[in-house]
Amino acid sequence: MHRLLAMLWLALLLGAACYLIAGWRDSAGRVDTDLLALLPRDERRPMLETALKALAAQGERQLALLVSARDDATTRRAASEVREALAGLGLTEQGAGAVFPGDFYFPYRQGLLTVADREWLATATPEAATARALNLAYALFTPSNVPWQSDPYGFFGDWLKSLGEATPLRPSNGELMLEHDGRPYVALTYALPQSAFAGDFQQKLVARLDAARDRVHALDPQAHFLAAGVVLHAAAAARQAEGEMSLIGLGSLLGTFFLIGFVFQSARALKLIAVSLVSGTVAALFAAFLLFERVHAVTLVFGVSLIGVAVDYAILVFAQHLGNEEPVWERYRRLLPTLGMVLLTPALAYLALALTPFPGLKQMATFAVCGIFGAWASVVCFYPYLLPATLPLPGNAGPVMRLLARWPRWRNTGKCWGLALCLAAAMAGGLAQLRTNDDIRGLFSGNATLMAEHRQVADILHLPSPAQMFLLSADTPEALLQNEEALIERLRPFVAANRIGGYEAVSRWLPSEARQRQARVLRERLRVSNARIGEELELSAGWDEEASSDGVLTADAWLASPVSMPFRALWLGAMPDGEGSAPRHASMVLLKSLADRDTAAALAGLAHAIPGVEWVDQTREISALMARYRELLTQTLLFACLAVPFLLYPFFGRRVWRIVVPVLIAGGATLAVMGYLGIPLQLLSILALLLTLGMGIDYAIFLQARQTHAHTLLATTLAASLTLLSFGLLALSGTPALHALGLTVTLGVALSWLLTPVFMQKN
Amino acid sequence: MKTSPSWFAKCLFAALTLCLALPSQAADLLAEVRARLVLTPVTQGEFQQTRQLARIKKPLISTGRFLVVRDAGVIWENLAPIEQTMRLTKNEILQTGDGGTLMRLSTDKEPVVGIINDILFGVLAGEFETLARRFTYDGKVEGDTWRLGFKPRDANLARLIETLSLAGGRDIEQVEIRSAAGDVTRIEFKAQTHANEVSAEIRKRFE
Repeated sequence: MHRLLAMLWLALLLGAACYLIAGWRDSAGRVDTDLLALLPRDERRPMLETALKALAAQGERQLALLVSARDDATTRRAASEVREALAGLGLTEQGAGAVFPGDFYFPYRQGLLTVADREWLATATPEAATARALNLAYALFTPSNVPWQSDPYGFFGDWLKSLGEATPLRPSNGELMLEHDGRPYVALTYALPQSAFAGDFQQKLVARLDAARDRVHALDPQAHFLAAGVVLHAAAAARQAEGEMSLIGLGSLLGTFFLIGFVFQSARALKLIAVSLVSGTVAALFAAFLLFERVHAVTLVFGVSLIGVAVDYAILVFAQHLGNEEPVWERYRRLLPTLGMVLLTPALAYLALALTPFPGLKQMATFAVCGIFGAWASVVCFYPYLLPATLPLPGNAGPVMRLLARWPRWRNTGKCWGLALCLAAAMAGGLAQLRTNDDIRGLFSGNATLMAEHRQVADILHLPSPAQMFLLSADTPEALLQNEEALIERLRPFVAANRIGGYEAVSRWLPSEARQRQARVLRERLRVSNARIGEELELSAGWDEEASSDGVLTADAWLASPVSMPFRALWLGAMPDGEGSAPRHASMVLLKSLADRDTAAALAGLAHAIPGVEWVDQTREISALMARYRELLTQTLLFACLAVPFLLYPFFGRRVWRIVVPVLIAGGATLAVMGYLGIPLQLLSILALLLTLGMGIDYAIFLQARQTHAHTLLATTLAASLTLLSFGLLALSGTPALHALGLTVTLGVALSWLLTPVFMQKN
Repeated sequence: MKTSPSWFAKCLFAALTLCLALPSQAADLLAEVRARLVLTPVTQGEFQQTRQLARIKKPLISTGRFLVVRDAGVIWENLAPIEQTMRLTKNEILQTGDGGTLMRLSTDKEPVVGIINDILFGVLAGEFETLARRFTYDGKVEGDTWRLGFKPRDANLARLIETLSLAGGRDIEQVEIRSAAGDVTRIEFKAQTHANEVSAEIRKRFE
């Protein structure tokens, strides 16, 4: 029976390994370094989900560069240098040679009016209108490429000019240029040939960009070279993840093999450790690549830190064999229930991670549970075959064991209680200072320098921010555009008061048919002045007819034209709105440089005033979600603390308190230390405490389950120190989320390990 | 004092290297024309503007007076048949008529305005080097008179202006602007006078 199970497990492992090896190249391309992918998605709002995806897809393959040198000519030279440096990468340059909006909109011009002209037209007298047109006719020059007769009042010219306000970039001798702070800038925008997350390409691109930067600085040491793009963050994240994986992985592996080799001095023991580590890795990777379309680099970094946890089982098993002369199978049978129990607690703790709505944490949980299970299953299945008949009591472990045997023990004495009270007071002091922080930005922030550069580029190019936006929906495209126009009407005072820098909306480029009709109706007011102008300029009767016979611009026509290209991401089109209901048309309105929180609140208020408009404040919503889950998980944690004693009672009877108390104190003390150090409590700290609870209880179970305390203590000490090593290394991670996780677990495990022997029963 | 000729030569050499980017024969042409022009800080006079709008038979003839202050800008006053004034300064184009401000285009809001500003100033004040940055040119000089034709270098500018032509002697006497849209403006300057001092009164008009 056991042999069959072992064979089955071996076959499974081999199969999984083959799967991984066969798909290796493909899998490497599926490693994701996008920190945003770790953020939760709001399943209750499928439309928002699609909106964000569309924005991400639009942004993912974009790379924007800004080059500026001392003068116009040098700046242009610098831009050519950059172009040369990036040649051959397969990048597609965009922007230059773009479509001229004027050509596309010309046939629809009768329906297009700026706000100012609409207002002017509503009140203008025939005299004023005649004067306006004649002034333009007699002017020295018309600053648009439309003949006077096609736009006698200049309305179309004004409208085109208003489009220009959407971006400061202007074509100039083949470059897209702008002026910022008195400096000339050339903007180079590129579309990447492949996903921003393809590893090889990323590194190649970053190297070329560095070369381009050097060339620009060689031209003018004071030159500005700014780059922004998801790909840069992805490359930085990949580099960081790679470095951290090798640091944590190498550190943990070396530590593991050194300590185990030193303590047990058995090659077979090392073999079993290696087998359990390899099977854990195979199981975890297999599950991750099978279940997830993209595996995040942060998951892998976190996964590497599980080495310290995965070796625990093997170590605990070895400990039972030290100086034990029983036949291997005999020992095995006696150990099996304990082994089952110790799998359960950490697995349950990691499963709690999977309950959160954070895709990143779900993936980490899956990875962890499968990895731990893999390591455990190999220990359970293979150890009767791999383990030596007996492990000699190691000579060099003697001093360690003697030290542990002299560990302070809890006694029911006044001195102990006094000490306990003092410690409790100190803990209460720390807990009182504990703050919470659910700001998502603190958790999944990217590289700070890159972020600053990104912000600078967004600022110079007047790019809207995707962090806050309006999401609009309606039954028809026309109704949607009308909603947008109603919203923009209310946004205008915010722009005038400088509370927002501006907005980006489809209706700016594609007025609703109602608005176009309104413009035509307003133009009816020009009949008198048209006649007078005709007389004045000796125009043939009906000269204004040609101008008014053209068509209405529809969403379909607009979407079909390249003119809509930069704004298509804002137009989400028809999309399902929950199950069973008819599809709705949706769009986004993005904002530029939002001034402050008060403005955000006022804007949120606007959404209530217009039907079908929703205010989306991603950072805030995710932070609120984090807070909600922090509270939920705190309750889970408290519940687990209460439930564990009952679960363990059947096995340990009244000794249960010896298992639970040290772990609970360790948890409380961890929180207290965080309070004193000013580390805020957040979702991940709670999760880390859950993990600590799982691991701490494991150690305690092992210590209580066997009477050979000294050996087991040695094993737990080893296990704990390897876990400490792994998570301690994880605390060095530059990803704040992993740093928080590593730090809390390190603290918690260290304290559990120090405290557990204190409550051990005396032999 | 002894060093001054060599200093001058160096400057000249520097200027020449700067000009190397342009066709050298053409650079000479601009210099030749400039040498014939009387360029003083202030030039003013009268103009007759004939505008031939695309598809419209009647030529729109207007007359008025102009004022060029080299370091400040241009004031272009249409007096008949309608009254309107266009003022070009470094940062904006301001058009005023009997109804008050008709149009105010500022360079910081709309960079194209800066280009239009440059071109109009180049044409009306004889700043040919400014024009040469954006236009290719040819022309000829015969005795005291000259003729210059400009074509945009940049495709985007070509969508606005087809050609610029200038002709004159000591002063710029004729200007023709052909817009890409098909409107043609011809300007004849008359009664031009020059001054070396910018009076306070004139200065005030540019404030």
